[in-house]
Amino acid sequence: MTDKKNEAVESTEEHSCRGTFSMNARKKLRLIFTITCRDIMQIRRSGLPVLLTVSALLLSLIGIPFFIYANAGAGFGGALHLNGASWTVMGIDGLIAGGDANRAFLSSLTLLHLVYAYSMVITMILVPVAFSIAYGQEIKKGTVRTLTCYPVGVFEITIAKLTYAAIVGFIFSMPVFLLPVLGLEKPVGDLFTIFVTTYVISLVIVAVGAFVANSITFATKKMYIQPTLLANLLVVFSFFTTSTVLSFLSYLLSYASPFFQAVGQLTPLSLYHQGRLLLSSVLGGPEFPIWVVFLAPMALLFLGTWLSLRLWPDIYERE
Amino acid sequence: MDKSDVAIEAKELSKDFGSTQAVKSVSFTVNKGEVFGFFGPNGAGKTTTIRLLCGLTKPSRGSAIVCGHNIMRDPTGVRRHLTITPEESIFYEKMKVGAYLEFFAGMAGHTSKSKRAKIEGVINICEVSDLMDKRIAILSHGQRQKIWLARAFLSDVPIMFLDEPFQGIDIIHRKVIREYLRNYVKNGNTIFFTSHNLIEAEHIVDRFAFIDRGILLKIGTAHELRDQYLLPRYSIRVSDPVKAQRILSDSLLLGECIAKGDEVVVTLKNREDVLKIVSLLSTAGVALMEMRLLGTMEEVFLSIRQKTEGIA
Repeated sequence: MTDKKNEAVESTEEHSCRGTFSMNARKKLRLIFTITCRDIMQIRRSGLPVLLTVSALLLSLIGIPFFIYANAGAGFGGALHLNGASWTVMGIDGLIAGGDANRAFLSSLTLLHLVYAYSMVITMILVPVAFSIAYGQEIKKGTVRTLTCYPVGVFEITIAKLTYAAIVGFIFSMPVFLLPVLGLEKPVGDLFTIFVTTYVISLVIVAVGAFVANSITFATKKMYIQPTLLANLLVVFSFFTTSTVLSFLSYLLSYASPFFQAVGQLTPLSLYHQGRLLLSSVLGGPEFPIWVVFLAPMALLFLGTWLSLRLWPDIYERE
Repeated sequence: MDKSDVAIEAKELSKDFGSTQAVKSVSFTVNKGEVFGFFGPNGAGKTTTIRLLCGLTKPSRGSAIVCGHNIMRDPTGVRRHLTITPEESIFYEKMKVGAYLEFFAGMAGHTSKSKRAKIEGVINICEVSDLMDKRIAILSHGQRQKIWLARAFLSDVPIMFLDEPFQGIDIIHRKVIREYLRNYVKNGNTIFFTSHNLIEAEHIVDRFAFIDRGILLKIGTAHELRDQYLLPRYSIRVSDPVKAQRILSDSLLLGECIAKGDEVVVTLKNREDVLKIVSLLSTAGVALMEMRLLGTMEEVFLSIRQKTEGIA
């Protein structure tokens, strides 16, 4: 009888603990949502729409003529003819025969490379910019310290700003990507998959940057590197270490620099590179990603989250 | 004192910034339903203590229980039970006052239904209804301070931390806000109050704590501290000050007795002699119109500081 009573008490306590936890989690989610909503409602006051619109226009101005030009068979000295090309066949349906080192780069390209690169450039600019402006301004102006007067900590604020970057980045980058590439006569599902992959990768890199910066702050007890700065640095790193970008730079400079070769060693670590390989495998290509590389950001995010939850809000104090 | 009556309990709370000890092993309790004043000169450790109690800064040593929550174990959770107005007001300058208050009503945990009523309430207390459509950037210092307080009043919590809340606010509005704060504590809530203006603070504070160079010097009510640190000094307004001066000097053991204008200022050496003043003047036919105890809390603080110079 007593055992049954004890079990009942334990079960009630467990339920109440779980209940308190879920109630606290719900309250925290509501606060995160409130911060994100404020940022979205006040978006025009941050100057972000102007910046993003200019970026979007510039990207469209590059993207639209490029795809029309290449589609008409005029791109790269008549080497590219994208219309009807398969996603993953080298040299865009074998139109490039190869030859010298420069042409070798072109002949290694697939349609996926081009569309993926375009999507990558869009998301790698617009997502981090949204994050940097939303979070960077709060830290710089000190308004983040007013937020910490409420039951939110560094973790919740970081999540709120990432959510904002995810929403705003998606809204701005989606049309910029789709507009030029819709003329390729490819299934919208494929195009959407490419976009979502680059978008998610950009977001993950930004999140990793932010949480690793928080981890560094936890270890050093001072914000030596801001989450926005590290997020941007990681995006740039991941971009410049893709094999395509490195090959393109070699192609532009017309020589195989030892520097590029050294940087090329880091290519497997680039999430953008792995993202392209992942899409290649999904779209029927011969390449496959190194799956274990995707575990690294997950581990960093996990560690960063754990440490961010242990950070005190005084890291936002100016000294 | 029952544990359940305690709102804040600081236990040997310390904070170091490098080699500087900003707060040195500070211990005190704040009861529910009282205004606890925390005073001291610049750099005494007032703001740091507030930041420690609100879970905004990690203590170097010691701990505190705020509303039953240990600040070391759950620093974010502690802030669910309190509202803070830091000394330095930082605003979203480009926001309009209405949107600003609405945002912080959300942060205070109000639902869309309860938000409106709460905002209306604080608008009336702080008298900022005419500012709702204005951008914060264009407001005057006093108006900004009222918005800063309104933001804090949006929270329905049992503890309020007010760091220099009245700076820049005019006399009329100070009175209204003071009344609101008095009603707030009447309902069993607690206010932790800091200010440089001790004369102003006397209107609202129940218990005073004095801190200097990180060391808590003294805690007590105004009455207790005056008794302990100041000689009893009275200003007595009478019909004939010169006669009153002569009578009091002849009959009582006084430290000082000066007649000026229509009043006599006396400093008693024996505290109990205050009871004799009325009867002495009445017997001599001197009409007593008003009698006030002199000695401000500023003087108390200076006296405490002087006496504890060696410690601090």
